[in-house]
Amino acid sequence: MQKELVFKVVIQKIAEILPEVSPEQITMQHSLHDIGANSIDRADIIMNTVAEIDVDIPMLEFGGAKNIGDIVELIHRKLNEKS
Amino acid sequence: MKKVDIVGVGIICSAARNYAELKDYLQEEKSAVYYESSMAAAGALITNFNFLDELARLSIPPEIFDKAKKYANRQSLATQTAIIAALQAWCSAGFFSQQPDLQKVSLIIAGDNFNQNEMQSLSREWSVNKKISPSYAAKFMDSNLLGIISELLSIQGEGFTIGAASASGNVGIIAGARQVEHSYGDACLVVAPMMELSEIELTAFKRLGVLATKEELRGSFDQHRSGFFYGQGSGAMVLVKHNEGHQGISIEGYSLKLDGNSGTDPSLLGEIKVMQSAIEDAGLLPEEIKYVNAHATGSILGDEIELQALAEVFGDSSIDINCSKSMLGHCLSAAGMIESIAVMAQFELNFFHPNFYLLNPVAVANTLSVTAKGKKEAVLNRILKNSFGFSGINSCIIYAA
Repeated sequence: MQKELVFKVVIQKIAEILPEVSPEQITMQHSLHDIGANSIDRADIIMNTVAEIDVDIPMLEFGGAKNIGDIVELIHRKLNEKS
Repeated sequence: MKKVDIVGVGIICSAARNYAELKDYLQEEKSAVYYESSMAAAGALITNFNFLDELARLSIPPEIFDKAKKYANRQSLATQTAIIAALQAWCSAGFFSQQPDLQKVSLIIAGDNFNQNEMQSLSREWSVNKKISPSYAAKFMDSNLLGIISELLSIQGEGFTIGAASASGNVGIIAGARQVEHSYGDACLVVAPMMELSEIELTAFKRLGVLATKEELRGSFDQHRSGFFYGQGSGAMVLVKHNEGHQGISIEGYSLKLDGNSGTDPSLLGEIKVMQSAIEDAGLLPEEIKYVNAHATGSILGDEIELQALAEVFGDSSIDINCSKSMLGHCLSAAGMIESIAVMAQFELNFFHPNFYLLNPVAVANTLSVTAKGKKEAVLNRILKNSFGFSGINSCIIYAA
């Protein structure tokens, strides 16, 4: 799976959790906090993305992610390790 | 002596989407209870509720509108209706225009286990595909609503949830009254969310024999009553310490007592004691109270015991008794709040509403009057409000105009 596709899933999950955010305004440089997600929203967005892509990554591993790009990067890397 | 004033009120229930609509409804003298075939029981349910429509009806700052819209996303009907009721109460207290010191505002969520319907549907999903969102770790706790409302209104004083079965609404108001009476807060917002039952709880209530399942409706105090009508409603109040200039409704006294009973049966002595102690707390004599808004769920034993307790407490002095559950259903953990708001409306409208679905009233002591039809025009100066719950919980509040 390409990074772009992972990013698309993240955007889709953000739209479900934070319907007030316009998806076209979200970039890889934004953090989830920037777009209005609190700690619980962040966990739901990340875990729902991981479940959708069907890759097993504990929430704890996302602790170092500074922005959406880092989240996408981590998922993408784990996917490649898997395959 | 008046101790605490009610300065804000909000309600969403089967009959009304706000307090003004409730007053209109009361004047029309009709009941929102009907036989609901989908649950094979009698109820007064909230139908066609749309969070954004209700939010749009409020005069609230745009940033509060946006925040409320965000927090209500993916929340249950109980949580969404409670948010609207809380915003209505905050509006009617004038707190958006004249903001109180938010460090000194307390928040109480009255009721527990009010999201059973959502919990059961998540359980079903879990049993099928082991799917659960991380947010469930916060959402399964009733304090989730405390967090939402406190963040929405920036409330930073004391806050907690309080559970007392079907007495939760009354007990929340009592706890709120204590907050302001003893200066733990300048104001207290008490929010009682509707108790949203799933099929499992409804079935358990049926099997316990306390939910009315007959198509022919017979209400509280009727000889052929067969249990409670399930009501849905969320309500909220803003309380402050009594001010001599207050024009509205106040609280004069209250009491909360346990029977020491783990079961569901009422206690005559417990009910007598809680009413006597509330009357004493208000510094009154029984004969100074003429109107009672009873707990009266429509259960066989419960109504009987409450009438006996009232006869004992009021002795030779005559009282009028009504029960708002015959009109709005039994809102379970929110019942005390919803019915206290109905009490406020009756003060303001100067009449005492009748008991609905009362065709063959039970025999009562000749000092007790249980009005079946027709509203009773009256200048109400005081109403005693009972609310009892499973596990031997008795509560009583005395409201005064």
